[in-house]
Parts: sequence; structure tokens; C-alpha cells
Amino acid sequence: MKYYNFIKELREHSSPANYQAMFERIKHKAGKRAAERNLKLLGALAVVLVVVGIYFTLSRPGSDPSIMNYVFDEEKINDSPIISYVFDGTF
Amino acid sequence: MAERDFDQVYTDHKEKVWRLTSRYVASKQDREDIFQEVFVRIHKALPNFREESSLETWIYRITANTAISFLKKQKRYKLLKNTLEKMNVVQMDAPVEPKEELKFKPLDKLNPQQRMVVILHDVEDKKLEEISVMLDLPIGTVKSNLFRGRDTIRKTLEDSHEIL
Repeated sequence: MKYYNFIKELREHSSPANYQAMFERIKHKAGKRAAERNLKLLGALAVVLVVVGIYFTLSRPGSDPSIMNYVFDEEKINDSPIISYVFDGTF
Repeated sequence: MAERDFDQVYTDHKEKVWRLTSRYVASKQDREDIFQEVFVRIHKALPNFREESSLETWIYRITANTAISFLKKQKRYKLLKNTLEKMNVVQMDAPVEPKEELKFKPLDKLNPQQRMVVILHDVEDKKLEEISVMLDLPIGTVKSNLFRGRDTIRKTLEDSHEIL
């Protein structure tokens, strides 16, 4: 019986709301979050563009291949002077 | 999505969302926070609404999930606050609970999911199948949440005549 009285009380419970004021705040928050999302997307796009730019700059024939070899062609680096310098201190 | 669509959704469903949040949490500030968060999420998700379920079920689902995660976060925050108080890192005065909020005391013993299931079923008169869809839970889990929730409330009510 107590349980049903408790539920009845919850059913009858009402709380006044200022829908117009909350609507303004919702619109403001939604706009702010959309702007933040766009900013994050732009940031991610900028990072991707920078990475792609660096990749193509370094992989051009005119660039020093030893740097890219470190990243893309491990075998070529094995006999390179860089390894001698690192392990023996000589070129 | 045209802004007008969102405005229409707000106009049509604001009272249902407010009613559910009012029955789910005691504090007015928490109700307003949940209510606003629900509609911010609806504003974001409305363009992707594919009408796989009715708009009302979809809105109930967002409301229920927002309210559950709000309460989970709040419980974690309270736990941290209590730990810090015990360690004397912070000192806070015990909050004075308005009489209105004492009415919700028995619900505090339930976990956020049980609390939502009990409210949806016993207060909002939703069917078990509907709750299962709204909360994305198997029907067996909904039933056990309801059973345990009711049991805990009954025991709390028996133990605390003075509160109510």
C-alpha cells in the first residue's frame, strides 16, 4: 500500500517550468556546440593537410631521401652512413 | 533540418520531457540541466532521425539516456566529494534538502537504470516492450530492474516512516 501511495505522489508531482527561457538557453547551447564542432573539424582538416603537404614535399625527387628512408624504406637505411654515425660515431 | 522543425518538436514534446525529468530527479536545477541537455541532443540529432521508431519513442529514448548518464555522473561526483571530505582535502557543508526533494528519497537507493525503469513503468505507464526499446535493454533486464527497484523502494519506505 505504501508503495502505491509513493507512486501516486510521484504521479501527482508537478513542477513549474519556464519553457521560453529554457528554449532560449537550448538554442544558445546548440549554436555554441555546433560552432565548436565546426572548429574541431577545421582543426582536424588542417592537420591532415599539413601532414599530406609534408609527405609530398619530402617525397619529391629533389628532397634528401635519407629522411624518408627512415620512415618508408627501412632496408635502405641499414647500410647508410647514418647508422655508422649512430653506432660508431663515424661517417 | 529547418529550425522550424526543431521549434515544432520542442513545442509538441516539451511537456512530456519536463514531466519525465521532474519525476526522475528531485532538484529543480538538475531537472533544468537534463531538460536542456535533452533538447540540445535532439537539435543535433534531428536531421539524422530516420523514423525507424516513432518520434515520441525516439525522444523518450534520448530523455531516458540523458537522465541516466546525468545521474551516473552526479553519483561519481558525490563519491569523489565524499572521499575528499573524508581525507579532509575539502570541507563542505551538508546540503539542506527542501521538503519537496525528500519525497524522492526512496528513489535514491536505486541505481539510475532501475530508477528510470520504475518511473517509466509505474509512473509513466509505459509497457515493458516500449521500455525495452527506449533503453535498448533485453526485456528480461527491464523486468529484473523493475522487480529489484520496487523491492528496494518498498524496503526503504518500511524503514523510514519519519521521512515520508
